[in-house]
Amino acid sequence: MWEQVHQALQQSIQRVLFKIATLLPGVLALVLALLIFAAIGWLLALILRRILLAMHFDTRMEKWGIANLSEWSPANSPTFLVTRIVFWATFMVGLFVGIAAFDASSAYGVSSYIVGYLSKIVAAIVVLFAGIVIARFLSRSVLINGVNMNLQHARLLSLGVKWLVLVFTSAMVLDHLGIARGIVDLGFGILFGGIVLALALAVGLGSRDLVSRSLERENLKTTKEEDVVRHF
Amino acid sequence: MAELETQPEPKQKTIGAGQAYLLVAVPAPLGSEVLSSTIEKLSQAASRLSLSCPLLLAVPGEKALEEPVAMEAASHTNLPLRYVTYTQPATDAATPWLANAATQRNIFSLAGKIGARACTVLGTNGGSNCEFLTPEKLTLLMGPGVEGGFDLVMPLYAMQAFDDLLNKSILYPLSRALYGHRVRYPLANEFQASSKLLQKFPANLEKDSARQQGRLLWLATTAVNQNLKICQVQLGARRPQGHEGIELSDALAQLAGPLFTDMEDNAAFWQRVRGSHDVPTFGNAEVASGATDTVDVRRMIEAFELGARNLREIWSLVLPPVTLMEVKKLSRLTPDTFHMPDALWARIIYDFALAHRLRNIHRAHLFGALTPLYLGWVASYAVEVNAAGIAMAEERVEQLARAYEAEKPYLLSRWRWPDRFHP
Repeated sequence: MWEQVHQALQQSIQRVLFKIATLLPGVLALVLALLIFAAIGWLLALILRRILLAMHFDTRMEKWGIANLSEWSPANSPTFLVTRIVFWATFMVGLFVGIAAFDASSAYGVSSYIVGYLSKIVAAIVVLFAGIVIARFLSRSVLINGVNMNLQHARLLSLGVKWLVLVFTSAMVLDHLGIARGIVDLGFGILFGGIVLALALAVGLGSRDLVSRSLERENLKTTKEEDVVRHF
Repeated sequence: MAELETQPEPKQKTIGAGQAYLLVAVPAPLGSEVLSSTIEKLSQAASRLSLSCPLLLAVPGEKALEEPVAMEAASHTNLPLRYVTYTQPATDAATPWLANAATQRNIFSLAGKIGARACTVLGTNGGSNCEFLTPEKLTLLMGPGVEGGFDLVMPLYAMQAFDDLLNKSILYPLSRALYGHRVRYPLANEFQASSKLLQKFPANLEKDSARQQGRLLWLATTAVNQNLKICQVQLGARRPQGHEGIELSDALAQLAGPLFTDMEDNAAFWQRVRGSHDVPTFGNAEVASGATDTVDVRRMIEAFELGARNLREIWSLVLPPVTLMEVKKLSRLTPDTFHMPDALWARIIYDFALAHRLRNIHRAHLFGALTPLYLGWVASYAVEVNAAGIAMAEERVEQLARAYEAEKPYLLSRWRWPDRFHP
């Protein structure tokens, strides 16, 4: 009896060790691929940075009127933005190559699944990043314009817009990743509809007087103040 | 760009061949009546000045429909006048200053092509400006350039106390502190530029047209940069055009934005300038009529307080902590005691100019965030002018301009070392 148990344990340990031994070259290949491509990416970025600095890329971008690019780039420099894109693109290629090598060595056929899902994750990260940037931009726009329109609840509006965009983005990300798709669709529909309905009710009922007072004040302002003061 | 029309007169020469014209440009189409009266006034001004060179009247339009009218009007005078049209860029009511700048560029381009001796621009809002300019004013505007050898003749208006506040609070004091010239209206409707100054523009304008988008022409700055002679002429009382339907934040972006951009371009120059100097002024000063009303500042202070309550987070991206603290203190003052120190306002503008350069926040947001602060300054100015009397308004503007000059070391320090901590 004990002999049989011992034999079974030995066999299972052997199988585990065999699996580990089979995976190790793949892991090694993955790490190696990442290191090599990171080095290539660093080298490419370095060379590109020197070339762009030599040709005064930042100044040229501004002269060509592509000023907005600077606002999205680190240290407000289009050169840095381009070099970072090159580095991370090379690194991602290394990751894919590493995964492919890992899959070839392990012979489990997971690479196509992982690569497929990885592309979804990358797209989801891009969507999330864009959503956060858009949410911040829109919330600031609403806040500033609200204040300049003399709306007392400009901050509340700005916060509402920010969370609307964030909720919308989160739903898109989860849907793209295929996580609890049905619940996300349903939950998002209820939440989004609820927020819009609540805002409509708040403006339509609760803030009716407030809105009318605001509009009255605006009318009064245009008749009295602007006759005397001319800004431009 | 410019389209030169053929002339029906007998003794015709090709425009620009051997003759140095004095170009007189009108930036908007004129009706027949206004055109005739403008030519009559020009004739009177020319005879007063004993002009030796012929005049070339430039009017926008694809076809010289009014040419017979112009020739008919000129035939009644002894004015050696020729008529030319130029292409007027598409105008957008939402961006009047940019449209004016584009028109002025076209006029300068035309002046460059014909090799004009000087270029006089009669204003940027069409017929009403031409009616405003009497023969005496035209003589004043054209005289210093023709007789006195000045390269740039800028207007000096007698504005009411609460008119043209954006110029009083930002454009004039900032350009004066930066470049050291006391040109009161750096964005003029009427001016005269010599060929020497005009030569400086076509090279700049045609080199990179994409770069000219969203920029205005700061004539006095260019003249100072090139060490050319500037003067001002008293053109009397007038009220600003008052562009309807333009939001204050948009106006700030369209007027202060180009000045901030200009600061970036000329940083090497203005960093060497200290103090300011008067420019020669001709003509008799007039006092602006009307404007006996006092301004109710409550709404402006409310707007400022609303900004102080809600925009602190955004202002903190632009303003250093001490300035934020002072702004917060201001927001607790009552309307009667409301006072924004000139030094504080000057530092705020310098900080926003730096943020414009560093792009700390999106530029569309930058001028929106400046609007409540600007209204705070207007309220403070109005409280003081209401208390001291309208007559003190000009002195108040002069005081503000001196504060900008006094705070210039702060700008220099922040501009040169933007990453250094400023409490």
